[in-house]
Amino acid sequence: MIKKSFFYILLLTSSVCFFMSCEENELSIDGIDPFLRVRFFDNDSITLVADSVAIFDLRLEELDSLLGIISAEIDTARDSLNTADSLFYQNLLEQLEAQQTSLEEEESERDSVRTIFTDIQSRLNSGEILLDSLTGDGAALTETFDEVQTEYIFRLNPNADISTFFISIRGNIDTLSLGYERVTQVIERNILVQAQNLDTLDHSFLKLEINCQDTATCISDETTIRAYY
Amino acid sequence: MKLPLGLIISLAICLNSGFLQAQTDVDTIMVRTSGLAVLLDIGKANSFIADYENKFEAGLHYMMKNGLAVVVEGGSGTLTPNNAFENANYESSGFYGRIGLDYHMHIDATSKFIFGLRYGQSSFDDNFNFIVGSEFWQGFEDSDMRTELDASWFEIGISTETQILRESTTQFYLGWHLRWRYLIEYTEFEPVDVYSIPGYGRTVDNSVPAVNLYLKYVIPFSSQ
Repeated sequence: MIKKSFFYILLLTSSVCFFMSCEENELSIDGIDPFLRVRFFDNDSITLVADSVAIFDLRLEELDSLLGIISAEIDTARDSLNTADSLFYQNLLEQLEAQQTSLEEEESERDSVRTIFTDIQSRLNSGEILLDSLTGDGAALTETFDEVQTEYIFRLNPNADISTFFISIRGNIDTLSLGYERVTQVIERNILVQAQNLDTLDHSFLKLEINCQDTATCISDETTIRAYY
Repeated sequence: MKLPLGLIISLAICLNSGFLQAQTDVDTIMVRTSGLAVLLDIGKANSFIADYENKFEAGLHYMMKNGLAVVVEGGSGTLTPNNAFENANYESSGFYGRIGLDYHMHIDATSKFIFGLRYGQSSFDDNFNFIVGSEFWQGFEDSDMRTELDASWFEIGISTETQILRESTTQFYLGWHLRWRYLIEYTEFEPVDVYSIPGYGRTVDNSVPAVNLYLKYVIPFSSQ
């Protein structure tokens, strides 16, 4: 009886092992090629808006200061209404209150406009942009975009140590050429090519910043480039 | 879907063993307690129709009267596991051998439990090719071949076997091994390591279970 049970247990084990071995797999898998993240910033607009916000801030500070002085003068005039020159102080008080109202209106308007500018500033600083197209030197396709994005994924050429990209932004073409060292890795049962020691070889942007998670290896998949156009 | 020949053979043998068990009480059977036996791993028969492996294994057992048996086993295998890598074809092939000791414990006149220890060595080659797909650029393909690789391991196991064809004067046994293999060492590589070793199995863990179905023939020139 014991022997018979043992046979059946082994039969079950063997059958499970046999069927598990029958899986088929697709060899070519997309999405495991090396990539990096690129963010774009409108340098001129960011500077212009920042300057405008600074001017608004300066004027608002002046207005605050003036309103403080006027408020103190209004208090003084009110205290002097019961004196012999009450008519003079009454006229002064009316003038000061009119001036105060005018400054408060200006402050309110400037504050509203400043809010609009800071909203624009936030959007510019987020890197929100719609690229026209993206292609590369020797690329198999030209990628086009339908939606505004704050970050774009650039696939690196797994067959070469250099990838050169052509990026169309609002009708202007910018170039970005990156050099890297290809290293074969096994990650989660995938044999893949990792791009390490990523560096900029050439570009047409106003300014470029590379942020590697680990500066010693600078693996592309963990790297973000900030491009200012 | 491939025909599960191993399953069919296994089922037939299990049913057969149950039938023979019922007969044991009424038959009078002569059992050899010592002598030389030849063993063929028939569980590997399904590998000849499977597209992912091709294996053969046989062995010699010299049984002594004290229940101990000296065991020499050998085989060859070509393994192409589908689940080695998601984006690669992998194959390993080579020869292997095992030596060890078994201890036979009779359940009744025709059936035994066997406890065994083995030391195994394998000499093999492996190769792989992989594709990194890319929609933006061209996909990247590469391959590698490694030769003269070695591995060694220990096994502990339990087996059970029962005599078949009892009306014949010859002695055939059908049995199962259930083994646990412990990898001692193998030729390692980075980043793409050896995935499977002929005679041992997958290297993912340093220990793997194994089940073997075998047919054993006791050569009739030893004393009874």
